[in-house]
Amino acid sequence: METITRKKIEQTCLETIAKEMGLNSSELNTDMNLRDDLDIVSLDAMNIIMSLEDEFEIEADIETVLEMQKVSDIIDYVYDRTK
Amino acid sequence: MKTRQRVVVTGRGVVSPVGNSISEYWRGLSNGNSGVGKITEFDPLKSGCRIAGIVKDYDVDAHFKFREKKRYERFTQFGLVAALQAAEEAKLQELESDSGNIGVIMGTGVGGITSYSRVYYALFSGPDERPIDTYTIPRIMTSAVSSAISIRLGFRGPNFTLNTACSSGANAIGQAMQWVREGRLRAVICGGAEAPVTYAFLRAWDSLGVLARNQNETPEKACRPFDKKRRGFVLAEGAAVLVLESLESAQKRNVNILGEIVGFGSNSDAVSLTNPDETGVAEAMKLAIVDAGILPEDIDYINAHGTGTKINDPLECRAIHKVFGDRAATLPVSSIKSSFGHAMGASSALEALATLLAVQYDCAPPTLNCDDQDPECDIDTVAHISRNVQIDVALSNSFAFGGSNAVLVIKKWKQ
Repeated sequence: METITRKKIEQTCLETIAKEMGLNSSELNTDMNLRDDLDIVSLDAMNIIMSLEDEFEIEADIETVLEMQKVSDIIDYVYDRTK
Repeated sequence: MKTRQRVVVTGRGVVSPVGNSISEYWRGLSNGNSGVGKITEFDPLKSGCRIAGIVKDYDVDAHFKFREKKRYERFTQFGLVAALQAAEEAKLQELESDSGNIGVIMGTGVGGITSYSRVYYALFSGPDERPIDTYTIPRIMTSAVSSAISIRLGFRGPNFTLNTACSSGANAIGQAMQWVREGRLRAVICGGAEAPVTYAFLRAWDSLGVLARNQNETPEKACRPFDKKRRGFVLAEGAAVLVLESLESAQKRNVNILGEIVGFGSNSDAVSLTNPDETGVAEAMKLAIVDAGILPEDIDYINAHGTGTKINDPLECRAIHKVFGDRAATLPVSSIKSSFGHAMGASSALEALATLLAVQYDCAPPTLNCDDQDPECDIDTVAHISRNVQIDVALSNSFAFGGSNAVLVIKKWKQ
């Protein structure tokens, strides 16, 4: 299986978050706080993760997802599961 | 407990197929404009009826940020937009410090039916399930509309949405009136909201045989209450919201008073889920008139339920005869469903608003398309064109599947 690069994961995560929140992915950066900077609440986070689960064929643990703080937490989480 | 309060209207708001402001709505109704057109939002495919009353010139982005669009289903958006208009007219921000004393009660028939359709599509349209949006439940839930209004405006009194099918909006307004009259609340934002035009819902209604199927090429002629050739109604969407307030509160803050709600009759036919009952319908009108402390001869105009179905119209006319006796033949009675269709749970709120406007402007809006009046509908239908006539007190009739009748008595504001 072709290895998915971290760069590709980051790009897809940013695009997925942007789509869910009605933003342009160029407005996002990995240091952003999900709640404070992007106004992402639990329902948004779950939509984002469901899309990423489908995209990367992974399964996410909801409770872990809901504890995430930053954009980079999502990217790290997806990256770990695709390795 | 406070003494009985007089209940006045201090705010009005509307989103409808004939206009999205009070002035547009009244202009549309009183000019006899039609809000019915071909359904273009989806392909109505095999439905016999392929027309509906759709809200036009509704710019969702002008009202809602992306976040709210995602959270709020179309019926909730309509209800909130109408509520914001009403709250602005009533200058409700002045009551911010008394927020616990302001309630919200809305009526809807089917709530977030569009999101139901999306879920079924995700589940059954392909070999594999697709993800289901996590906002599906908050979008579907009928109470989203009253909650959205409460959240946006910050009013912390009772917040609920009721469902009595097609009389939902009138029952919401009636309940609000009682709360204010009894002195339980200072003001209540109330009305109805609905956005039911989906393919599944259209087909379900179409199967009942009560939608007009024979006017797909001439939609403006489809709804023909009291006419011999009536074949039923068309679905419609929209919202109407009133701010009801105690007279004491309205006068204290010197806000403009637009009318008075003086009576409410709510009852059940206790007969059939689908067929109306003449006795129950007549009784609801009598209850409202008695509640208002007036007599039938004091009523100057009736805004009819007037669905344009074979069954409803003659039955409603017979009930009017029962209540009004000889006057029934000359009392102006019109159905605005002829203008834009049947907005289900919102229809009775839209009609209560039209009744209020008729009282304010001394003008009965017309029943369109009543070209050849059915002799079984022996009333004055205000056919084709609106009529300038003194209207001090009017009835707004609403009946519903399930036998839930709700009638409001609306009076011109006089000190």
